[in-house]
Amino acid sequence: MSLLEVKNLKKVYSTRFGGNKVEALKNVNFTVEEGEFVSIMGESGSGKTTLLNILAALDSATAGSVLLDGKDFSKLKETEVATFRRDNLGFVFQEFNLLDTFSIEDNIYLPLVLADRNHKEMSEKIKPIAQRLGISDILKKYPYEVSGGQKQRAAVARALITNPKIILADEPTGALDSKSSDELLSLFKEVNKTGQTILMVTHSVKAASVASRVLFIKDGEVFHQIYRGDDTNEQLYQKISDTLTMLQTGGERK
Amino acid sequence: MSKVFFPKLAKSGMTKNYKLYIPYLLSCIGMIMMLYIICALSYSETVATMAAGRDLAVILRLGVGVICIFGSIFLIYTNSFLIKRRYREFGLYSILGMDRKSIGRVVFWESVIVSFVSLFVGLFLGILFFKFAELFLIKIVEGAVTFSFKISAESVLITIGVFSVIFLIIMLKSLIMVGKARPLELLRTTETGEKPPKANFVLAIIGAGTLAFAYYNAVTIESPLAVLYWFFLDVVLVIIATYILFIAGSVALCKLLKKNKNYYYKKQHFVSVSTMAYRMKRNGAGLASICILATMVLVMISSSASLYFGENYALRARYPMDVEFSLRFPTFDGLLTDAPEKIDNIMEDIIKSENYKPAEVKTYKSAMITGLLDGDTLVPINYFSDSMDDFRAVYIIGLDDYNAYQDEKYELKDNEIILGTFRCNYKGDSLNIAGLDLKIKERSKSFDVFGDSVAIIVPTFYVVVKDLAVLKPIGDIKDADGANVLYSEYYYGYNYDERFSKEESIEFFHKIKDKFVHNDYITENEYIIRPSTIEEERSDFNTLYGGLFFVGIMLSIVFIFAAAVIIYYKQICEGYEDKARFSIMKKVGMTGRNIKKSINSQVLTVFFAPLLMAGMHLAFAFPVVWKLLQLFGLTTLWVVVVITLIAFVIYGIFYAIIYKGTAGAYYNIVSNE
Ligand SMILES: Nc1ncnc2c1ncn2[C@@H]1O[C@H](COP(=O)(O)OP(=O)(O)OP(=O)(O)O)[C@@H](O)[C@H]1O
Ligand SMILES: [Mg+2]
Repeated sequence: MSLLEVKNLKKVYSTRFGGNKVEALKNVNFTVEEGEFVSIMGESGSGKTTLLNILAALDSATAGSVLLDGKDFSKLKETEVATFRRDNLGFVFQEFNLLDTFSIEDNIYLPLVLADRNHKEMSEKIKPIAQRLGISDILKKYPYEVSGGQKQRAAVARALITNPKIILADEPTGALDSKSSDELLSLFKEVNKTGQTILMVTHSVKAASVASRVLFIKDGEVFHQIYRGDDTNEQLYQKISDTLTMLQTGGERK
Repeated sequence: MSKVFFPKLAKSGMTKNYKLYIPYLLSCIGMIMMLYIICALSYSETVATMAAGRDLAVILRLGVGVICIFGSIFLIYTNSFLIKRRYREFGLYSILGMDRKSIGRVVFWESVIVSFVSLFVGLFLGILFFKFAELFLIKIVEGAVTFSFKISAESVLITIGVFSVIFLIIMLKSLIMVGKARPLELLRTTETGEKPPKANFVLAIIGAGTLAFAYYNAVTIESPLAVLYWFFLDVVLVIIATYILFIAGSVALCKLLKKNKNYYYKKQHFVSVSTMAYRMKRNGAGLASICILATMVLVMISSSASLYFGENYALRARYPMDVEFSLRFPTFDGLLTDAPEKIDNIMEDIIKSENYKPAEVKTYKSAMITGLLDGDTLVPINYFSDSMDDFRAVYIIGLDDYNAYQDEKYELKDNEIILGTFRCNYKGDSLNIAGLDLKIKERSKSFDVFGDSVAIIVPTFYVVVKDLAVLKPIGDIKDADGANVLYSEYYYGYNYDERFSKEESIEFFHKIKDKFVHNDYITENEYIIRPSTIEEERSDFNTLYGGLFFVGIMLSIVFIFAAAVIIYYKQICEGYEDKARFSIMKKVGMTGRNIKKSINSQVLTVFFAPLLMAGMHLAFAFPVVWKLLQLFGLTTLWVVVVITLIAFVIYGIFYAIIYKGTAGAYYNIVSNE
């Protein structure tokens, strides 16, 4: 059984007054195995964020199902969804989404506090993660005092601290300069090596080329995918570029 | 750019920000309306023709002064808040290529529009509602209704003058603020967040200490005269302490809570403690202002209402009998002449010839001495200055008169006395009056005699002696000016004949009075006679206390409105801040219900903290207020307690309504995706 199964997913947005309908996702099917690092690419407006929001249970699908560990969470009640999200999913966002009222440390604790864990357990958990992400000495600082790359690493720490089954990242490098981006990507790679499943939406070919598999979305459907196989990052990079060019010129291949 | 461009931009800027501008405009209009109404009342003929109308006009003008001062502070504060909220927009203008001078012109036109609209509408509403206010005032002071409708030209001019100055100051302040601000930088800084506040424990302790000192002072002051001085100092201290506590104290408290890891890292506390710590520094001042306003309203309303509703009791205390004639002798020996007997005879004759039979007649002889209390000794002194905490007025009555008057059956030996105190306490078991050693046998609370003592504002002893003759040895003591220190008095009082109407009784009173004297105070060689009837005094009391109550109500309306506006702005600001925060928390795994709960507890705490604090201030101010009211002749504690409680409950209800209304605005902003 795959860790994540997405079947016939469809999402139609209707505007507030029921007028225009936008079909953001038409028919999306794919699976993610445990320990995989999957990138999702696609043009702007192709429905990547929509897909991720549904996977994150922040939004509900119009039709189709999402199974995590064989469990369909579109059937859960609102309170159960929140608990489910907290226990199984970790998030990294483009704009970090750290709370400015909390220190970096407290920001990382937030999901654990919401899950009613005690402080001793939290402080034990944070140590190795902070060590690994290189943020041990900024834990007491506040978001406004640290750089974008550090903020994003704090956000990754917050995602990791609950031991989620899968980490969902929406353009995590989008707000970072290239050096911070590289650092973050190698971190993701490392984290993935320890067995952590990651699903990452990105615009950047470079970011995508770190993954073990790349999915391409077009017009609300999974249009194509590339497995890394034994390719190096550079080789994968080339393949992705070619695919994107082909997508733009409107080629047909599946 | 064409001439109408800036006014147009100003207008559109304000309509776009209607959520911010409407409350401000309403505040301006409300202040102008109130100022006109109260000012016009103070000039109105209706007031001028009332009993004690001139005093009422003074009270009303006091209200005008308060509104002018408070209004300018409040409007300047509100306006600078508005300008700050709009920095972003001004920043946008400057990105779009508008120079600072042009932005200044937009601000200028905004001020002009606000000034004209609010003056016009405010005066219009003021003139419109003037008559209602007048009728309300007449109802309260039980005056005569008039049906004239006049616009008070001088009040219009005063209002326009005062508010022109206020609006000019506001405009200058706005222009300076816009001139100083670097909108571009501000555009950025609001996004990157600001420093979390540092807890200043020293300041917090100073605040708590100041408050404790002021409270202690308020509770322990003995003499009502000292109250007059300390009251203002206490008020200032409490205001300062409130601001410090809300700003520094609350942050310090949150920091302490944060230190307790097992408390802080709990779902229920985590978010609210940290957001509150973060927010208090900025909003502490707003909360403190709300608290101070609430306290002001409560103290003002409870004291003026106590005077108004306790008036009957105060009046009775001052005038125990319906009609009173008292003969004041400058010496003790005066009592021993046949003057009292003469009075009795005259009264009896009149009563017989007019066939008027009083319901009850009471007479007594008494003596009075003033002095400074030194331990258990009263050292006579004939003058009084405010700084004399130990000053006592001592009223002395003979046992037979006292027992008859109060319907008691006390017994005393020659050097024994019964003691009562008013506006002070006395703990000793003996009292030495000007060298006369007296032993306190009993203490009594029932001293309905000596209505005079209610009118003068000094601490007072009531003393019952076996016989006034025991005072003979000190009757001749003279002060430095050669005047006797011991006065004496003969009191003749009666209650109206029940068969007669009030008017007839008053008529009869005047007949008697005319027989005695031709003026109110006639000075014969050996005594002064002072006639009074409670019904005539009542209308003076009504006008004065009613006037105070009326001004209290009007000012309370202004203050409550101001508090509502401050709360509204607070909620709106926080709404915008919290919106982003809660959407993040939702993403990290907070349920909608968690969020609602957290919002509720946070808003409730922040919202009701000022009310609780105000309640505490009120409780500690109570002893002071009570002492001040005693100076006004109020003697019934329970009336004041009940009215204060009612005032608190009513204010609480208003506050809850404001909370409901503004919390709605907050939820709308937070939950609006
Ligand atoms: N809340 C919404 N209501 C209506 N339409 C929406 C909504 N959110 C997204 N859409 C539409 O759905 C489509 C997919 O949007 P989505 O945000 O998923 O794209 P994206 O792939 O993430 O784009 P980008 O790369 O620019 O982030 C777009 O056409 C968008 O306009
Ligand atoms: Mg997107």
